[in-house]
Amino acid sequence: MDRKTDNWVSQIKRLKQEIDGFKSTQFIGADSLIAYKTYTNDSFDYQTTLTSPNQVRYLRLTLQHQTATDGILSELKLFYRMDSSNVMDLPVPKHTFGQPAIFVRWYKEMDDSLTNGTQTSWRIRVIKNADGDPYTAYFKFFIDGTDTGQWSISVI
Amino acid sequence: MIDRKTWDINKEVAAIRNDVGDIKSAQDSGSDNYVIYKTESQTYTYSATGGLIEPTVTFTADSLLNAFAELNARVYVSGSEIFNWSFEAQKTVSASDSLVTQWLVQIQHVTGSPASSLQVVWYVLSFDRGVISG
Repeated sequence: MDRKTDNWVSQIKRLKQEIDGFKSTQFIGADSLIAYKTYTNDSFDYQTTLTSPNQVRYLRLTLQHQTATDGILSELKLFYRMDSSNVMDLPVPKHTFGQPAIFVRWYKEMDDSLTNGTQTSWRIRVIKNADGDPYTAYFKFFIDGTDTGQWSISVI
Repeated sequence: MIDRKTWDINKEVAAIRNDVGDIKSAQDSGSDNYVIYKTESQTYTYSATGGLIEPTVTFTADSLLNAFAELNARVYVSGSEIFNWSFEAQKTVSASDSLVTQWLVQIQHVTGSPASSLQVVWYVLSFDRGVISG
């Protein structure tokens, strides 16, 4: 093998190593993709107080992301707790018997202005039950998705 | 790993080109940039009992097995979009390596006067285009 040929072999070998590097993070043709969990290390991310019986408050959680083409695959996992900021210590179960003091449901919004290639939005409905004193709900948000970013929340 | 005794430059370059082509087709330009497709259905009308509908929704991907589909919806009453509804979608267990993803859905119109009929447009985000039936 002459020196010129040996040089080609080295270059090809290096290229194959680089491609293997790509494949180790995003395996082509199989099921290994990079996904992200977006969350804070705070004990809670948001709080809201409901005072009136049957009061409803709508919130919008928006994740700003940059690299999605037609949106991202993503799932919001929302936990909440009443009158305690240490949410994950004892969150309200999603499926619970009886009516919790505050009830929370959410879905991803499909309006193109809200969920698109650069952001994803969820509408969160917070309902106080008919009885009891005012309650403050504390929330923790975890977003699993094919992209990460910065989230913000607003009352709508 | 290249065997220097038996290597064939044409074969090696062709293999590299194939690998690069695979990467390009799966990954848009830039890092961590997947091509996600949003598929929209026609408008389906469902009779609601107490504002509740429980349809089965099916997404059939064009070509990608296990397309990791995610179901979402927009809901209308008499042609106007409503926002006071709740959504639960339970993905059913399907055969492995399938083009088909199916959900058992509950949509509840949450109001003092629930509608007797809901119109729904389904949206699927996934790694492939496809067809939705609800």
